[in-house]
Amino acid sequence: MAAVKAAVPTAETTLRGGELVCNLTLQPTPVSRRYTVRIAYRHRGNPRVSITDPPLALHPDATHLPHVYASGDLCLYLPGEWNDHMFLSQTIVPWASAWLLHYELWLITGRWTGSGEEHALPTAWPPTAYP
Amino acid sequence: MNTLHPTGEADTDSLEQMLSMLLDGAVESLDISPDLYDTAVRRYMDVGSWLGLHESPDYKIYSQGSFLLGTVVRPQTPTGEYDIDLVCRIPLHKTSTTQDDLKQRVGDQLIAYRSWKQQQGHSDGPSSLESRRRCWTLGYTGFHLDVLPAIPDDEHQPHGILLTDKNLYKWQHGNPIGYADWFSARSELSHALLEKRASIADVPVWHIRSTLQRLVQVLKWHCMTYFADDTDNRPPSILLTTLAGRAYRGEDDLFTALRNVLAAIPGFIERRNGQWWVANPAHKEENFTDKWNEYPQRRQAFNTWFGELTETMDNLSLMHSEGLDTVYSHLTKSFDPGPLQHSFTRYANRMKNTATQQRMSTTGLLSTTTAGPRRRPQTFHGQHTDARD
Repeated sequence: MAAVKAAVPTAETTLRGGELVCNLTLQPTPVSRRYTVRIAYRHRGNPRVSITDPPLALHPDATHLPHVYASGDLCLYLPGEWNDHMFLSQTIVPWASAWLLHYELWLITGRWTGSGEEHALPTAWPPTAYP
Repeated sequence: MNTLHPTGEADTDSLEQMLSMLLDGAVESLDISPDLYDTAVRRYMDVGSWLGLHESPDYKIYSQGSFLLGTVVRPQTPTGEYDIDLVCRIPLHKTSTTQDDLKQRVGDQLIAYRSWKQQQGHSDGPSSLESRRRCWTLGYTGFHLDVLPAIPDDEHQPHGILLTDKNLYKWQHGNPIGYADWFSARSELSHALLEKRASIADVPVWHIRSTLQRLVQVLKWHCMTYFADDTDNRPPSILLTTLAGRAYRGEDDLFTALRNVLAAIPGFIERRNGQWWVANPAHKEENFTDKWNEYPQRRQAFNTWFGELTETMDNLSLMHSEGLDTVYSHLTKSFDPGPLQHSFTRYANRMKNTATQQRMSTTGLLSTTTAGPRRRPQTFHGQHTDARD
């Protein structure tokens, strides 16, 4: 988490019951909104990322957000792309920023232009509850 | 597409740079492609050598107007064909010919050229040939060539010409080469472009658009959208080009240049003896706003259009942190959405493909120039839908 602080000094981190929760503001381009992002992480678990402000919108033709789990958490990577040896600051945080960029572009074009169009959703993914 | 314009991979770390990149990408999609440009040049060189071979070598055919200036914008007509103006200069004195004779003389040669192409079975000949008020029009796939018959203007050497016009008794003066020289000198004011040119020496200069050329394209594009249903009152391109060229001060950034030029333009519209006046920089006697004196509603239409464009740009300059989609909605109120969709999509694809070169700043800004952790490649996962599925 120190690395997240170093990457985004305004990040606020709390540790409660073995879960690290980090709130930070991200703005992927100078034109983009400033989003409040919440990252929750337990050791050996998968980081869960959600946008707490502003509320996310839908493209007029869409019924739900792309690349978001049913829980509302952002889906940022494929199984195996992230592991707990990686720094959140170098993976999850810039990935969340990229997600937000492609989200704003999706609101315009109706097409997801980030990578990841072609893969199927494995049934066991993601873990919705932590042990 | 004209992917070689320097702002194609421009920095996007400020609002102005972002807006410049997005506007540039939009007008780029309206610009003539390098391939079509080369084809058009080959076709008119072929016409030119026919005229030279069959008359005298003093016959000259050369481009003028937006094709020569590099400020072409694809028209929003059903065919969307580029309109390329050519001068066919014949070394005759005005006392030895009439406008009708000159027009017919060029026409006869063009008719002979077309027949010869057909007889030879050549596929590179014009598919149509029509007589218009001031010119002959040769039709090709994707563009047409308007051939304007002209003779030298002895009073304005070396490049002055006299043009025919069926509806006007007097010869029309012109100096397209002199005008292009003036415009090109104004374009060269931007230093970033000159440096970029030096580093890509193997790219023909005319495939790279200067900031001023792009700026003129934005003005023409906006004007075309605004006056789509009122073409009679649409300000002529040459007026917009002249005002932009006068007002431009060498800014490298397209959006900043646009705002400064818009702020300065009113100062370049003169009153001379009660007449509105914007002189042709290559032919001082010619007034590009003479129609305003005859039809005051045209000046009014110009002012209304100019006011709307200025307001659009002023509002954009305040759109820090409003969202890319909000900027897009704002732009589509005043610009044609097709080229904007193209530009935003192209940007989106670039942000996907250059992930490994991106770093993230302390505010979350993703760019290739910022300092901070490098963004590793990723594959977005989870429920992935296309809104249009």
